[in-house]
Amino acid sequence: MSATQPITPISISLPVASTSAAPTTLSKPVQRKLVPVGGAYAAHARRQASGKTFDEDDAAVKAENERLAEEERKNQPEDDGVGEEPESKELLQTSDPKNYKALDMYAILGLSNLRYKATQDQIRLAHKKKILRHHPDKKAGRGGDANDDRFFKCVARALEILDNPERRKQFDSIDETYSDKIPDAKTKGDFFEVYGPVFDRESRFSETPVPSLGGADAPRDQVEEFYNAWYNFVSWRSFEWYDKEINEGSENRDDKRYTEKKNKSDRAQRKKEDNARVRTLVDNALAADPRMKKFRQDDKAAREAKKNKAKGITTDPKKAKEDEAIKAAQEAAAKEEQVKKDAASKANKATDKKAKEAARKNLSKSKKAIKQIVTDNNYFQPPGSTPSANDIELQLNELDLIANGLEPEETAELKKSLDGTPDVAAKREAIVSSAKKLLDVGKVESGRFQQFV
Amino acid sequence: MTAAVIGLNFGTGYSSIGVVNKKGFADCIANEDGQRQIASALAFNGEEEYVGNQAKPQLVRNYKNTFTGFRNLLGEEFTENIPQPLLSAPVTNINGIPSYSFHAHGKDSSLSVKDVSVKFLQSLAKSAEEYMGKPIDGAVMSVPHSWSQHKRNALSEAAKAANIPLLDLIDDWAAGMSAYNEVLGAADSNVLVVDMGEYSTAVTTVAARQGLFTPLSHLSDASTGGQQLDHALVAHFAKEFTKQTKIAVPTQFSADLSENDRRALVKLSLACEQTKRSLTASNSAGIAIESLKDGADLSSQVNRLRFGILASKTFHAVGALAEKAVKAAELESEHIDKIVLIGGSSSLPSLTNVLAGIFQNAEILSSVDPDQAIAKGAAIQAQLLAARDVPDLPSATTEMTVNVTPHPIVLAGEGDENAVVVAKDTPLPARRIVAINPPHGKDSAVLELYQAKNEIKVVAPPPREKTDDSEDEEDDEPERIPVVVRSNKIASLQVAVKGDAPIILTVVVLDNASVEIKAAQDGQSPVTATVQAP
Repeated sequence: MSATQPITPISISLPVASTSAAPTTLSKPVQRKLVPVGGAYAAHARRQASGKTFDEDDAAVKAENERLAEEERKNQPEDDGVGEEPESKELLQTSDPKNYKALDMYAILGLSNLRYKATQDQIRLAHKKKILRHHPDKKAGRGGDANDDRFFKCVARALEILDNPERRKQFDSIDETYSDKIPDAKTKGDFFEVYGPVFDRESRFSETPVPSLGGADAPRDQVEEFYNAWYNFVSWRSFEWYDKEINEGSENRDDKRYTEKKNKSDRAQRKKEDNARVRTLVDNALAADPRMKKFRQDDKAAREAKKNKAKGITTDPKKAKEDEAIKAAQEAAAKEEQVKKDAASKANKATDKKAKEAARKNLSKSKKAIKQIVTDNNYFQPPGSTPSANDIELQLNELDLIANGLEPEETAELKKSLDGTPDVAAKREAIVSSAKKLLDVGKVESGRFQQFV
Repeated sequence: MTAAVIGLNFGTGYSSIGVVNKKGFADCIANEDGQRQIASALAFNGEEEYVGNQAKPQLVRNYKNTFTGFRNLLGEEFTENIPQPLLSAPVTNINGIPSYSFHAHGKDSSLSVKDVSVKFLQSLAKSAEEYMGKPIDGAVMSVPHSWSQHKRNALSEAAKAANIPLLDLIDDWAAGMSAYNEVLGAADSNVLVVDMGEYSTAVTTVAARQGLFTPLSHLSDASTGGQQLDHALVAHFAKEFTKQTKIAVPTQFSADLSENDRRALVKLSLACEQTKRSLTASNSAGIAIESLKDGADLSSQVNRLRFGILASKTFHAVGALAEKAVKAAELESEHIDKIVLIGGSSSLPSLTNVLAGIFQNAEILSSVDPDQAIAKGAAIQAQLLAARDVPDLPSATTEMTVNVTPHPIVLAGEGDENAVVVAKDTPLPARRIVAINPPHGKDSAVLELYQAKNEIKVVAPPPREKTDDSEDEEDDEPERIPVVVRSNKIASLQVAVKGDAPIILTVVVLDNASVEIKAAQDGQSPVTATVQAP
């Protein structure tokens, strides 16, 4: 809303008596372009849109401004004794700003009843009050020791930490006011009384709002939603607070790095443990939840009712039990059978595999043996004649081709057949037939075999 | 939480970004390179893409892949006589759309003027977002007054393609006025807005009436701008270089320049631009170019006075343009109360001197840096639009006409004395509240309101004593004083006076020019009068 119109002072000496000139008519206005820029234009447009006169608009603006001011006042943080908790003598005297990690920041600001629930505004307000009260100069006025500004420094430190969202989270993570204990199966007492407060306590670490435990008569989807949310719980809890201080002055880089590394792993370890703790809590709760037990029973009853309906039998719990036992026995038998079958096929597969493996292993051996056989038989040349160098080379090359083209088992078979017959011609025939096989399959181009055809 | 709004000044030569900072004040921000004046340029070099000031040095060796001056071509169709940039890649015709062909990423490709503009606008938006740390909620951009609706639409489209949520387009001069809103908002003044940019100069006379702006006249000149100042410096230093080294350097770009000459000219132009900028702030500035041509270096100095002489032609052209604009608004130069300087070249003190010489009654506003004024003003307007005091402010692109007062309304004093209550050209409906000291020792006062005329009273200088030295001849020129002269009476009110408390006079002029008058001392029952319009 724009400010009200300024009053322009004019310095002019007014005449005392009216001049004789008679009033005349006004001139007509002319038209010009107006640029819709600037705050004055907004006010002009507002008046045009509302059709209000200047005075009416002034009143409207004034009312609006008052309303805004009222709203502003309402939004101001309420001061109901924030930060005015009684300060114990112990707190005042033993708080040591140097050992700030041991301090209870909320207690120092007088917010120990609010703790993590304190708003930013409340923290700032409490800090303001505390520094006014504990400023060393004031202490001197009251006859205290003006040089003792330890608590004052603690107050400053508390604001430094709580006003920074990141550091506040670090402090809230390790706030010792709240126990980390979780109930287990041995814990006695009403489920809701035992677990309700624990979940409420843990929910403060959640990145997103999580539902609370609810009552004994909570509807099913609400309960399921609860466990779903808690199994997907993402915690912002972190453990930087326990970090060992890195000695900044230290010249020793290795030392520094070691500490850094150690801190990091410690944090990760703690975080892991904390996550496991929350998980256990949810597990325990789920196991102990009377509502879940009831839902399971309901489910079972519904299933049986459905089954019986399909069979057209009225519900007879005894018979149902017997049926179930029979069915279970059948299932068990079928399962056993299946297991046996599986084992058998597994064994088969294993033998096959073994054979293949062996063939592959022996491949080079077989290759060598074949070559040896060919060499021993004078390269299938008439006995007594010396095979030409060209023939030898070609034959060896072609043997390589054959051995590479054939599967390892086939190579092994070829070797076996070669070993099997003493007849030289038959041996050659075996090799030729292998070569032909390769040609037929197309693994080797025709014309590559000149010797073994 | 304030909205993240920005004002963008997308200029032909340079651009700037205005944002509303956390304290709610408009601020011109620097981009990642620390530049507040971001060159409107884009360059490709191999795999690299350069935007802004980083693209400018590419003009030396890689001008074929460097684009400048694309803003002015937005929304234009390709014609033979399209203005071709002299130093950067030529504009080519692709399906009738002005485009740039270039070689990058190992292949030849082309980008239309719109695509280049979008890329450039994206980089501006990115800088703004990085500064604010959150996405932009709204932006106001400024355009030259002379741009057609078609060109404005083309710019809107480019902004949309660059993912800038455009709130409005406002005229450059209006953005300048917006930057001075606090000064102009409370008073009635005739304002001259001088926008001297890199490539052109525009002058607007505006009737500013308590923050409402109605333009009276607008003139622009595309042949006057920062470029001409650069040329003057280039010519000067080229001559100096030739004198020092006996090597000739061209001073004008032409198509038949050798590669060597072209490179020397580009180097010199870029360096002269820097020198010109330095002269804004300091009294003298140096120039140093290594290996300007044939391995010879240039190192020299120029002071403000010398520069003023070199560039006086350009500055006087701006002055003449301003005088013409004032004439077109049917005003005399004495009627101009305030001068607003916007645009990068307006910050030169030599221009201020020329304008101060012509408009003797004018106060040259200088609280906002001229080269940041447009961006800041646009940001202020964006802030206003984002706040939406009024449900639906019409966009600046819609023509708005309004009735204005044809004559000033004055309060008559004793003798010929008059005081303006409602100035001429005040948009209607208007209200003015004035406080007048009552006549001393009297129990009543007469308030008489007149329609009046703005005139110039020429006062002959008092005859000088005859002295021997007749050096200051020009002092004998007659003095010209703007005055208001009563023409016809509107109303007369008799107000009772008690004590010395001021009389508060409220004059409301309705949309049809009817006048409502109310006058009284504080706490007294007011005397009223209403004069109906014909």
